[in-house]
Amino acid sequence: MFLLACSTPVPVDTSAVVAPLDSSSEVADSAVSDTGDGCVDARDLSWESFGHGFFRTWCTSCHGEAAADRNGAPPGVDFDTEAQVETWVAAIRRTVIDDATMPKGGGVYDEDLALLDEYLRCGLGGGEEAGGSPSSPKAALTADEVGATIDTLFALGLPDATTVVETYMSMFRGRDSSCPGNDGYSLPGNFRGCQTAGGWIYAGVAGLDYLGSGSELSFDLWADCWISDDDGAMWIGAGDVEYNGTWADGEATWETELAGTFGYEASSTAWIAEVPSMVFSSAGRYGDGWEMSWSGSFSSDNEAVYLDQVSWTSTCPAGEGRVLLRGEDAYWYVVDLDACTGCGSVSFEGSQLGTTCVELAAAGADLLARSLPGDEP
Amino acid sequence: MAGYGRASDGACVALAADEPPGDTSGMVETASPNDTDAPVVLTPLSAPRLLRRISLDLRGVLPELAELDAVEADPSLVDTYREQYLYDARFSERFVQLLEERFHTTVDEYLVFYEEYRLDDTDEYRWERSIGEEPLRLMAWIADNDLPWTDIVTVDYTLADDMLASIWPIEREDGEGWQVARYTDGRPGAGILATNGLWFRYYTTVANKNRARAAALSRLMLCEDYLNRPVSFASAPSLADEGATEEALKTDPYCLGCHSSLDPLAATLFGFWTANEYNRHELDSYHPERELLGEELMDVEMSWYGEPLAGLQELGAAVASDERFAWCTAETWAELLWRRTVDNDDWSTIDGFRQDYLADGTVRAVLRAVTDSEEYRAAGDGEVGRVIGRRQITPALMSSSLGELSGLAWTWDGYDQMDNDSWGYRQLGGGVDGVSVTTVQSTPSLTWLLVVRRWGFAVGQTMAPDLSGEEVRTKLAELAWRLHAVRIDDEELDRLVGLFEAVEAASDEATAWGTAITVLVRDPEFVSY
Repeated sequence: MFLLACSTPVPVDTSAVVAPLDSSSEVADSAVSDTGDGCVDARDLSWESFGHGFFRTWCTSCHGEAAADRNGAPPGVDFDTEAQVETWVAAIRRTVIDDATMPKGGGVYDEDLALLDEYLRCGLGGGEEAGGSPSSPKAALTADEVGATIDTLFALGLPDATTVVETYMSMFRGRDSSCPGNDGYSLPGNFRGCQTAGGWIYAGVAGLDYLGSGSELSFDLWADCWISDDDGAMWIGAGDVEYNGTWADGEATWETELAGTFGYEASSTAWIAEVPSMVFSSAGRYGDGWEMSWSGSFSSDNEAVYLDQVSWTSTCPAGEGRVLLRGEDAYWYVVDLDACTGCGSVSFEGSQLGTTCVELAAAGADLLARSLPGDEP
Repeated sequence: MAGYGRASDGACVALAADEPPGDTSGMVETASPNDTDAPVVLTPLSAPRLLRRISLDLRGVLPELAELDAVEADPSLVDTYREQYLYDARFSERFVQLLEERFHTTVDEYLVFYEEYRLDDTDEYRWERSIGEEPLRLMAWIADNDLPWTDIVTVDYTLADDMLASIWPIEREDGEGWQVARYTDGRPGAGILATNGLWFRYYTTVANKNRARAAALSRLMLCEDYLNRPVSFASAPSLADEGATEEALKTDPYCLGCHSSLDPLAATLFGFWTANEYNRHELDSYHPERELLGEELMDVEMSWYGEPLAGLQELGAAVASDERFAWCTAETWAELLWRRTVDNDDWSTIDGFRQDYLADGTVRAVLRAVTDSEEYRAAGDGEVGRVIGRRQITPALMSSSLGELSGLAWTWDGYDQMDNDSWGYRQLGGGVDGVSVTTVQSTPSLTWLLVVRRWGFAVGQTMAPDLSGEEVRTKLAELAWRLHAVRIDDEELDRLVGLFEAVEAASDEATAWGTAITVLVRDPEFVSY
């Protein structure tokens, strides 16, 4: 950024550079003069032209008043404004220029250290600070509307791994002996795809490790594929799906993770017919009582919802946790659920909007039914 | 070339081919490359050669004969023509060519294949270029419409051709070629930072978590290249140990030097993070549900160098309001038009460009400022100090200038052979492929010469006029003037006509024209500017 030569050095005849004007400075501007105090006359190093950019590049990710992780930077030692830099100029000179102990890891180019030195001596102070913070966005939805929108998404059903894999496996009903050319549930990697006599198309690559026997169900599907049925409806698989579940001593436990885009346009299962994009993990136990967690997000038709550590139990079927809904301008509404009520306060960028209730209980019950590793043996 | 001469004070002076030392007042002075005590005075380009340089840089084509004649008679007309060229219909195309040298998005391969879009083989090149040019076309549109240059990171639209509209979730205005378009997948407006074209090129992996993209953003928008910073892995864990590596990024000082700012920036890009970076469905669409995932996976809060951000929707404004964006705008165009990298010795000059840009807000203001600079208008052979007095013609310029002159387009099976390396000669001709070669070639090479030769002969044969006798001499002189912006002297013209006649006698008229025009195209006065 500060005019350093980039990755491919240009051969420059250094003998063409005018001799340094100041013994402490490595830089020389060809049409300038020394004012006698080591300040280069024609170079207008100011907060606006140099300082703010320098301190942003090297310092404010830690030494910023609003920095979330200061990485050990002492409280109050901030360089967001020129006034703050003036306050700490001696420490800056010592740590950055003299001792090179800051920034952590070093890396400031020699040429920029020279400019910093000159700025601190000659350009510090007198600058105008930049304008204030941008205004906060306004909520477009009421608390009730947030709840209603979330319920619309919940009505589709929360995504689950088993439905993904079952739907995927069902798509092989259209195969013939030559396309995709195997007996299992894998696709060999033909990116143009092959077409069966019945009009099905299988394209891409996918592999499924599946074990379903009595008390155990596990699968691992990785996919970069699409399948078109004989009506032209598409199955899309892009990502990874894992599930491990067992029945033991009258109790089922399971864990699942999914990341990617999966769906089948013609599915009778509402959520998978939307072909959502999603990332989530879920786990549970069912037996004497039950408990389940689901954490992650999914989106369909540009509506996105994020469940942050949401959990249900048999004694708390309405669930608890946080549910976030993405607004039109990409800002998120946050519903902090009161434990086991399905209701909670709604906030938007720090402003409270009221309270709402969501059908988390119904969503949880539906998800539980689909998450079990099969029927109890 | 005229080489060097001595001015009256003994200073070593670079001379243009047709230019005496002349008035050196106001020239930029640097120390002589041969004598550290005596300063070297830069010689200004002649008006026709300057016009030629401006025309190539701003339009990609040679000046018309009448324009050369006009500035030869009245050099003050150069600036009038410069203003016309800034608004020429070909400005946008040339602007895209220049941006390619910087943004490196017009690559020949992506992580997905054209076959995955069920395109024919004949669509491959068009598919590659449509994707790579998307962010460049958006910037060119903003430049051409004199919109604030900060719009390149804030607008909620893009530019798309029919190819992109057919493969991506885009709604595009009706019309041929590149039209204003909008994504329909819920991505916020952030100009080129929200384009598939940029992120197809600057991809990330699941483990990389958008860090490479954040670094690219910093290099392109702030001219701050994280990869230039020194880093020591002496105390770092094995990079194969993902957990320990992630921990080191937050604790090891050498890691924190970059990652304290890089990771919070990367976290803003998680709507583009894919579960499978090789899948078109994951790459083609934005994933709004993943916007908050960066903070969770990277254990950071989204921020712009310490200033909290809510997400991509605020990233563009943060970039636009950052003082470094204006600096980088000035620096970028200085480098592209001066044809060299800049350093702190150029600080005051770049600051002047920056102030001109801030006073106006459009990128044309920077282009004017740079093309007004003494360095830009300087002549010289090779380098004089840091100044590049002669710039080597690029494959893109060969194509546009000779194409306009002759109507010839060098293509093969739909590929522009000056614009690809799969089947063509872009890199061989001195161009940038955006991956392994990221700066244009500045000195001749064997393959570059071969490309020039082929162009020369092909143009010559294509342009062969039906002339004879004295008309041949007149036409050759006219072609020399058009191609070089230097009046050919009688002695050289005699030699050229003699060559023409000898080849015509041994072969035919078309071959004679091909030969003679090849000589003109291979002349240093054509291949440099």
